[in-house]
Amino acid sequence: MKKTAYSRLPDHCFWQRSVSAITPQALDPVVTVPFTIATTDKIATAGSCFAQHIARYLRNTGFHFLITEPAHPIASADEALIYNYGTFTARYGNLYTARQLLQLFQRAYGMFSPSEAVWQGDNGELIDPFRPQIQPGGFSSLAEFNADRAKHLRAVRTAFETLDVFVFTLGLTEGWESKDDGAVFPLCPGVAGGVYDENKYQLHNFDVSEVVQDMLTFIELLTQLNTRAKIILTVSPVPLIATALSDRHVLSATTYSKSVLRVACETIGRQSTVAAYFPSYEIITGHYARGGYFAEDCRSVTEAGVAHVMRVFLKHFAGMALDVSATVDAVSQEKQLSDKHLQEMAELVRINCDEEAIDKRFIPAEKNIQTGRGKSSLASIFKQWRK
Amino acid sequence: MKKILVVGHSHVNALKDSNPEEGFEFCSLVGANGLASFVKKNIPSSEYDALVCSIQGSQYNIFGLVKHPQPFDFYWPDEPGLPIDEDAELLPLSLVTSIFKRDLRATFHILDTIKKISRIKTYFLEPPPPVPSEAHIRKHPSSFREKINQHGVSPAVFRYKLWRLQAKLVREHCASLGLDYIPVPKEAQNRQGLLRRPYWNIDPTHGNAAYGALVLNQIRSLHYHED
Repeated sequence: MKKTAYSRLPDHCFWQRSVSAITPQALDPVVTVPFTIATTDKIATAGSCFAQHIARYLRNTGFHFLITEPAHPIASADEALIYNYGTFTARYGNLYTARQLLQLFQRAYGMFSPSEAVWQGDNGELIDPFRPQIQPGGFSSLAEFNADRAKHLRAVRTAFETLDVFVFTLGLTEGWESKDDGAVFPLCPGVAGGVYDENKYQLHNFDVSEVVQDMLTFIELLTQLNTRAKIILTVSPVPLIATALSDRHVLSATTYSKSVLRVACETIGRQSTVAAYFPSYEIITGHYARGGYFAEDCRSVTEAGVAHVMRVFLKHFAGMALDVSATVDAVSQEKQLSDKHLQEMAELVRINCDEEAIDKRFIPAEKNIQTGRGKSSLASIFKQWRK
Repeated sequence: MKKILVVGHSHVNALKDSNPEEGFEFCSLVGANGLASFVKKNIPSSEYDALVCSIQGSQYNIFGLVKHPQPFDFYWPDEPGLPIDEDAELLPLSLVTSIFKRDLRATFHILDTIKKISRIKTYFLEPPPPVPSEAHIRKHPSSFREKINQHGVSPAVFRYKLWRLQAKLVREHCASLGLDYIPVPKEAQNRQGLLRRPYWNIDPTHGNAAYGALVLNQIRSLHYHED
């Protein structure tokens, strides 16, 4: 057989052998990873909405998913979700662009103070321009807003300083920025707070060099602060919900945006010794899947798709098989303690009110002022009352 | 002479204990079948002038009479000068509101039910404000002795905020039902809005008979427009 440059290449270099010849579920586009993750490593996540899936699986598969801004345990699981506690490591909401991530770091360490600190909502509530959908109803006062932002940025600092692995999912290249100081917002002003004003805001469609530069600057800042930090980059397979470019079809805009991000990740992976690219984008969007990992809207990623991504992720980074049954969030000790406390308090309030409500004709006066009755004396009072 | 019917839970007792001479009748909703029994009761307008509801009212104590193992606090924008506990975790008001609404569902259900059956003027009675004195609460801890020993009593200002939040939510619900809301008599509150000493009951959460008398006077005055 004639020798060529391809002759000695492994199977994964050939489409026929590594894509066509295997079942879609078995596709594994990862060849090597530059580092592995131990279950004791603290993993932080951020990024676009697809990063939420990664966070959810990491939380439920025995990893130390770092949460530095957890929900208070009086909140139910649903309330915690609605208020974006535990969705990511801290309550920053979706970070779609590399510039947002860089500016989050800079804001947390006082390196950047955007001129637009707060927006007013339709009903007088206050909105954080950098996490406009972080909670329903916004903030009730400037004091509350300032205190919550300070608490949030403390949690961001704790995350950057204590994480071992940072998983960041790049989502978009189109972003809206302030003409005044270049502050980049996750959503166009006016969509979920703020007022759109073309004299104040402009669209910025980041190109490859900008994304690479922003990410490398972030990586440098992070690793100066935390020498243990390793970074895993992914590109969100979720298409743009809309493009702000009127002369572009949203499909073309999506292709451009994802291409820029994919090239940027490749470039960063080559230039940085601590950053690795993980191909979740390819696993979901690859031809081999025939679009099967997208829901009816051709945009939302199915649970089967996410499971495929995480199966490959865990296999390579942790040498683990995915336990698909591990989908229910564990209840924290703090939550269990709080629930027990509140249940006991509810019962004590009930007893206190029942005692008060019992007609005093049936209770000797001294018993009425006695405190801390045992169950037996209460039971006898109730018995007497029923008679 | 027609009467005013006062219906509700434990806070009704303070009113009943004040031994009103005439004009009032009391009905307890305490017990598993309290509401069901009341629904069957006939409230003819020929006998009753008005219905006054004192429904539950102590839910805020679940969160705040005793310090939570992980203390929390929140800003109360209606009174921005109220201090924040530096050692507590700050929560957004809207989150605390959401949690409270979950716990007030039973109260709202009872009010909805009463609204459906009542054909006479119906009022809602605001529960008494918190007792400011930790010493009093520790002296008369009622069922909370063990919990108080374990965790301590929450600061009065925190209990006040919880009480105000609860009152605001119930007041909004009453407004949506067209029920008139009767706030706590001003004379019963100190400068901080907490319950004045003459009205403390010998327990941590209720008003006493003197408080009940004050409230009955307020009801009379409101309903019959007496000075």
